[in-house]
Amino acid sequence: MTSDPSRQLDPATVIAWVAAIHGIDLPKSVAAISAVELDAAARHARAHEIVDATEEVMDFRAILSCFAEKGP
Amino acid sequence: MTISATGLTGDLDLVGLAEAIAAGQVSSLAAVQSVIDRAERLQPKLNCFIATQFDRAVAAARVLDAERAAGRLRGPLHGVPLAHKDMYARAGDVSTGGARIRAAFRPDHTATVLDRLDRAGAIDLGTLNMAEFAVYPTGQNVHFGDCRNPWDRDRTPGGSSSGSGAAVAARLCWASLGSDSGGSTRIPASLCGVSGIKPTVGRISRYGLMPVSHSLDHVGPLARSVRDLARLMNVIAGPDDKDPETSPEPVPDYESGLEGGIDGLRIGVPRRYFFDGIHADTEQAVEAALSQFRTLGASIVEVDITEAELCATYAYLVLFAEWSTVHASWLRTRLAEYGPSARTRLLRGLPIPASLYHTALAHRGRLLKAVLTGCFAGVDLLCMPTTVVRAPTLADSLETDEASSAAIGSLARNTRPFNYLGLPALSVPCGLDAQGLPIGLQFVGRPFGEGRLFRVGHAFQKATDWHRLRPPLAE
Repeated sequence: MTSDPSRQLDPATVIAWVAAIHGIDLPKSVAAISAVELDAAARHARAHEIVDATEEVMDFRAILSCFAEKGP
Repeated sequence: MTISATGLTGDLDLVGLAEAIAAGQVSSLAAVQSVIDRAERLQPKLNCFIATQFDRAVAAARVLDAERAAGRLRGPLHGVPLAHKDMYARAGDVSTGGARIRAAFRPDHTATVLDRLDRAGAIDLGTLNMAEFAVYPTGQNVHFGDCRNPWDRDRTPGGSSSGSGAAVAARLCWASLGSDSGGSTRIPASLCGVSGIKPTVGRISRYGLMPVSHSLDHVGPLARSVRDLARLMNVIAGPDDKDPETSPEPVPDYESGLEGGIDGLRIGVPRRYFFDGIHADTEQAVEAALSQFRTLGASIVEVDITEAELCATYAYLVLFAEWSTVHASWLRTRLAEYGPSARTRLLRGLPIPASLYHTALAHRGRLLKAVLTGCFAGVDLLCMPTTVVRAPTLADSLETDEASSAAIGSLARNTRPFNYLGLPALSVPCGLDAQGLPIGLQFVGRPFGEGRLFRVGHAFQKATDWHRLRPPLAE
């Protein structure tokens, strides 16, 4: 989003447009909920960013096996 | 010794019934008939079943009783009546997924878990109600009617495995397979006062399970007691050639490990995040449970899962993005056939950018390792409330705006992070609130640590009676 209010897009409109790419007519009320939760999630993900391009992705299944509890 | 019909439906858990049938103290037919009689009274009040197969169950019980009389037992569930969430494929039977769109869908194959239960001698009573397409934590269903909480019929039993939680609590079956992509087994277990487990990802085959979110879906059994869950897991857990994502990790005998006790065990309690917004009655019940664990010889250690919020956020991104992808075609072509709740939730995942979805999955291994080497380093398992809020009324269970969406979403606050991390999580009843509604306690273990969770849960249930309580309606 730009900081220039005259060029600010309504998030719900953007989300409805993304849904239209999928060929789906998204009701404005649903787009509004989506906009709020997606914005919150994106902000949160950015705030806790822990991987940059120098770090390798760890294989989830391998970590599960590596730390597997043995026995009952 | 023979067992009365009242004893059958009320007092015996699954293991108790299986042992009574094996010993000839009760017939499988009597057990099935007791449920049929009970369903006549309770189905109109609770709407647990989507479809019943009572005639087939009676016929199966007669065969199994004859086999037992001839000295043959098929397995550890010989003659025990079960019923499952309507999202497991059984060849030739309708499997609705709680949706009108699938009302005539008859799969040509049988889910591995149903096949294993069949081989162990279980009887299938029919299919249980659920949230449409398993995407809703309160479980209401506009197509088949809402399932109601047997403890208060004006309240939701939780979801998405609503019928499973309500049916086990109301003694309409001895156990049930739900599913769990964000808490759908543990939430109804908590709100209905029964025991339920989401195992480690890969522990149980998902072949024949309706997909919700590929990365987060789990089979989730619910039953009257932890020892029942241990027996069910002994039957259904383990590798499956039909599901290449099942783990090759060896499966222990969960039942034989139940009696180990918990003396010396270190139980971590993460209060930050997992106790936020907790209802006073729930907090009191959880504290009482922690005191019980101290009495049993365990130590309570305060811990912090610093990654909790991020895990919850990433779980949301993965869950919503994946189920929208699963349904994209039908959302385009059959949108009007979805109920409003499912439609809203499924549509909300469409705009999630691929970059965020990929980030959420790329961080999964790193966050899992951070949790296991961080807060798990000094403890054997974690303990927290399964849900911090009480069961919402059916009227309050609809997501109509941002506020109601947040309130409904809070039901899964403590469960969803562990779907993302793939860790095993067990919910057991630990009390009733001032309104007489059940409260659930959640244990979380290391990967493939279901046995330890069962041992702790079983020790708790030997020391308390919360799991024996029945809703007044089911007396």
